[in-house]
Amino acid sequence: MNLPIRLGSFLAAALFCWGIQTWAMGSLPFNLQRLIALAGLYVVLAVSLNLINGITGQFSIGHAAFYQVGAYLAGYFSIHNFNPQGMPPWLWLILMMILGALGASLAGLVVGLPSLRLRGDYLAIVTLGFGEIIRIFVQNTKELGGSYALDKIPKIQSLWLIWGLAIVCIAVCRNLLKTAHGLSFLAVREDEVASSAMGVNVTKVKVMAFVLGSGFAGAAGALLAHWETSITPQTFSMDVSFIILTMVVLGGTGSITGSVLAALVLFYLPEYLRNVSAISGSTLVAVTLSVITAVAVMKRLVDHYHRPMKQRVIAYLATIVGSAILGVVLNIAFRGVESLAKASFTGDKLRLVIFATTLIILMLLRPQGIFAHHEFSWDWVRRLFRRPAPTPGATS
Amino acid sequence: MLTIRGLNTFYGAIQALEDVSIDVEQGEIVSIIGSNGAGKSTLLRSISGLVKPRSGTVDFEGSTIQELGSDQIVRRGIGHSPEGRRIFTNMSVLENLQLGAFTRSDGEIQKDMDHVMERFPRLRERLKQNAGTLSGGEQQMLAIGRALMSRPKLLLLDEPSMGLAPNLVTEIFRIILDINKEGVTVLVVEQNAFRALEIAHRAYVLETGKIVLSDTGQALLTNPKVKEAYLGG
Repeated sequence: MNLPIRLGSFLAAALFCWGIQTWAMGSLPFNLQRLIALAGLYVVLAVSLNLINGITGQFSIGHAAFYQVGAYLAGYFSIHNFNPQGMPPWLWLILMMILGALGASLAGLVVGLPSLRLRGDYLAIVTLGFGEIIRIFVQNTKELGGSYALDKIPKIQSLWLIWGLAIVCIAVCRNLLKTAHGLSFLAVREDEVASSAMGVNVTKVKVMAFVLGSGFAGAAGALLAHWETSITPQTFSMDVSFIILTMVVLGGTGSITGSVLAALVLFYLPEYLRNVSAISGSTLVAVTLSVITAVAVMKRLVDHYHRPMKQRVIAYLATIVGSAILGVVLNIAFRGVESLAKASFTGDKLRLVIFATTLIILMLLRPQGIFAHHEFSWDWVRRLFRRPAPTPGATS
Repeated sequence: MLTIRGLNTFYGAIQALEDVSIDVEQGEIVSIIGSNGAGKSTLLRSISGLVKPRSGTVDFEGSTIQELGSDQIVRRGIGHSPEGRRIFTNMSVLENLQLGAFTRSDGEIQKDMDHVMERFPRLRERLKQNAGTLSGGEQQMLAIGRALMSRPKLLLLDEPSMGLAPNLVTEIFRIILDINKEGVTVLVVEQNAFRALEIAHRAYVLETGKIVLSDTGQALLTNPKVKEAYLGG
């Protein structure tokens, strides 16, 4: 990458952080500020887990543990040592981020080293167990608040730092992929034996992925602790680990772009659905039936309809429009059924069902994840809007 | 160049190599023939550090290497094209070659890459293509090209003819001869005994983990025992 592009992206990143800070902190209600903050943290978590899981291929499912190590370490330290004199709060927060990152990296090293001989499912079990150990350790340590909260952490809320961390995390992972070193991470995922035959130090790569990935999670934890001022072991329960993992898989394992996008979507979707107004039973049934129809037809199209891009897109759109019309018709029809029309479901009750259904549908239609292993690039955008050039035939 | 003495390698409780001693001199092509499960691949893996021998010594250019990690061994100048090719199928041909040069940081990587592509023009045509879309012969060429990218002094080839059509096998062995003529010492392991003995300066016969015969390639070709067991009478 040449210098102007580097400078340009740096400026754009700085501008973005500054913009989000002044816009959100200035004019948004507190709960929305919090959502933006948490979304940023989830981006960090998803991208850093993607480094371990997607890029290096080490199936780790205890990512919340590293998040927790960072949060508790920084929070605890901050409670006892916070001294605002002579130091702007953001500088203190950066120091805490570094502390959290170091602590979590150390934890990553501890998990990474013995896990080197393990693969796939076995590694997953170890990381899962490690996550539980951390959580239970905290739960049983009075000093850390036990199963209640670690309370009265100094409140330092900085959206620009959170999103700055997210951008740094994305940049580090992306630049890593561009170097020969990054290639060696991908090589380890592909084939460990071949990688060592090429002279890649597989052990080093795996440990580096764990240390780097968990370090970012730890820094995110430190930011969370100072944003929330109060954290409990439940903040880092196993379902947080699974949500992060889902983000990585859904976005497309190995794709940084995918992780970012999936983190944002999966984080906002349940929050957004909270606000959906109540719908009647007849609408619910109609929508369900039309969604099932759409998915069934789509699945057939994805599997069997191998035509040029344009025709496929038209077929997909036709499916969506068709099932939408079906939904409307059914809705009118079901309104006649009195018991259905009278029943009412609030968005809050349905949101987790919708969330889970969305995941199932996505995995059915696109098991390789939204972005598969591709990355966003301007080249790709350009190609999308150009006539497909005749590709040189591939032989088998 | 390479001196192996009394090598014993185990997989768990199973002994795969028993007291194996071989020599490879600078500039030679040395073949190791043997049937399935004789320990041929294990021998190569023991040399390149992919498995650690339990006892015995592997000396390369005068220093002991059996204690080193595989990355260090590649840096010393031993390139390994492993069994079953093991190319990175989800990566492009170019990335595969770049990974071959992973241990290097000198300025001549591009030059070597050009040289590999001169040798295997098919790879140049498919440079940006996923390696998994290559045909079997092309994949074998990529595997050899990738191993060459580390600029090895000694090239270990594991079953280069596996799964290839006869005319491709001829081509691959011609290429191995070419590589050797340019100064790379080659240690090749093969089930296709005829081809392997034909190009070899010297050869060893490996049976259930033990070296049972060794001679020049030509002598083994006419050896009645070898004829009966490996060359189909």
